[in-house]
Amino acid sequence: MSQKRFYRSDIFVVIFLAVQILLWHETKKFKPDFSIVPDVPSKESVKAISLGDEQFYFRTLTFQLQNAGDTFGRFTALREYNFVKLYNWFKLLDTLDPKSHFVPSIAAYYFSQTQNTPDVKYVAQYLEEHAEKDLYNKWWWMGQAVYLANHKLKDKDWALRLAYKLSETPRDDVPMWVKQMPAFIHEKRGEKDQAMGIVCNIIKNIDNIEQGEINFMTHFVLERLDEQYQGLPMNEQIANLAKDCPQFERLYENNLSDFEKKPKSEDADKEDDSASN
Amino acid sequence: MKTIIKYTILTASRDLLFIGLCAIIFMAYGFSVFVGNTALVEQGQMSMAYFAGSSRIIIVTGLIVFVCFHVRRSFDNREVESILSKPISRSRFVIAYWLGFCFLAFVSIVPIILIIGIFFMPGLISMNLVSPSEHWLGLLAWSGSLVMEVSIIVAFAMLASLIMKSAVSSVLSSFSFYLISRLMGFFIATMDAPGAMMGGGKYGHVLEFILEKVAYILPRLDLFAKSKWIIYGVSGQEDLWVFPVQSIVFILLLLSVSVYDFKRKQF
Repeated sequence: MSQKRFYRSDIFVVIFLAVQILLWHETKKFKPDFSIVPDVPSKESVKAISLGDEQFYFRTLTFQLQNAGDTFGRFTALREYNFVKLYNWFKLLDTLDPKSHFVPSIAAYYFSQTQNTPDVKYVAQYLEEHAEKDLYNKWWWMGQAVYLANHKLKDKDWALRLAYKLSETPRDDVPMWVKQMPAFIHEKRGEKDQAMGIVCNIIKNIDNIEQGEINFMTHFVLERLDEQYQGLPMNEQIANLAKDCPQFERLYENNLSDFEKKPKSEDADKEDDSASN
Repeated sequence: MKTIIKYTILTASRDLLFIGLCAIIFMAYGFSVFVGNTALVEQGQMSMAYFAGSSRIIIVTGLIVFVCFHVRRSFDNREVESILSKPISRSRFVIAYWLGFCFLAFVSIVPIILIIGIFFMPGLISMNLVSPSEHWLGLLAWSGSLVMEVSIIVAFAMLASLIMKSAVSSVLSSFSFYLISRLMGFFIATMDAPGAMMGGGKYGHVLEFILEKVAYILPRLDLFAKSKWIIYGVSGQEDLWVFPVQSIVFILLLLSVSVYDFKRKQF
């Protein structure tokens, strides 16, 4: 039969357990860092920690950034994020993988939805800088920057500068709106003659335009011509324009049956307006 | 020589090395796919990078631990003396041991290559950034460089186990070697910008001096097994020639040092 014995050393178990519990009262105030956007490390430290496999570390950091603020059971509104830090994170991550579309995607589609609209300027700024380093592959993000500057920030000057940068995309297989974007922004600024000039320039310099685009651009020019030369007959308006843009006259004549032979309804006009906007 | 290689494979099987590594690699695969699928975009690339990076770390860790403990146990059990009593030279013994470990490394890496090749094949998981031929070339370069990287690591772990009396010390030194070799690119960058990273003070200059001397004798493992090769392919990679050349040079160096040490060992 086992005999219950008490050693004097057993008292130490009780004492140290009590001390540990007391210590817990002191240590419980030290909590993990619950900041929403983590501090941005230096470029050098990131390169060192990546241990040569920058892609692996890039994906780890992007995952961390995507979930920043939504960890430890928290859900944080985007207006509470520090967008200066976010901007620096975007720039840092671009040094690890400039080819990836992950960072511009979360910047353009997620972080730009912040309720604090002035913060969107950091996103648009990043997208501009990201896209202009490789406009051939990253033109889409310049388009997103134009959208943010124009529609969210309502900064038409900046949007116009970005639109001109976008229109310089050095490839032919991009949608026509990439080249037309400055015209749309000029139009929004009320600079209709300049908008018409941009479209005329596209007609002059780009071959193999799809019929749908030709229809749209011809209609766009005709509409502005009408405003510019009010009262003049159509033929004279076109003759005036043909001095600068003879291609338009040929285009108009080739597509005459599509535009002027058919009377247009008011509904069709409205549809065209919304398309141009 | 064949007998020693078979013996190495047999001991690895007894230690459940293959089963253990395969189980952890499959867990890493599951984790990578899970984490990758939580990404807002580029899920395929995210999973691929996670799996490639984590499986590399798993293979290196597993083989370092196995090699160091296996070699020390062979000495402690007097298995080495038993083998050396047969008509085999010490040089052949060292080379055969290393070949056995390399075979283990290769067998352990095959499931990783198969998983990447089959489960991440274009079409199964969206990887539409590069063409299929680029994808396979990238996978080939990554797999080849991983085999070579692990061959260097097992050669170093074997050397460390031959020199050191404790398996724990050899494991720690092998990890340190791997870490420093992977940091070598960073060290080279510090030399290009003196004072910028270590500070311009006296200690900074001393550190930079030490780093420069260390860099002479360690391999550039940071140029091996880059996950971006699988994702973006290898076109335009100017440093691709480094990993085969570096492997041959450094493995020969490690093996010659191992033979040098082993020939002088008293039993």
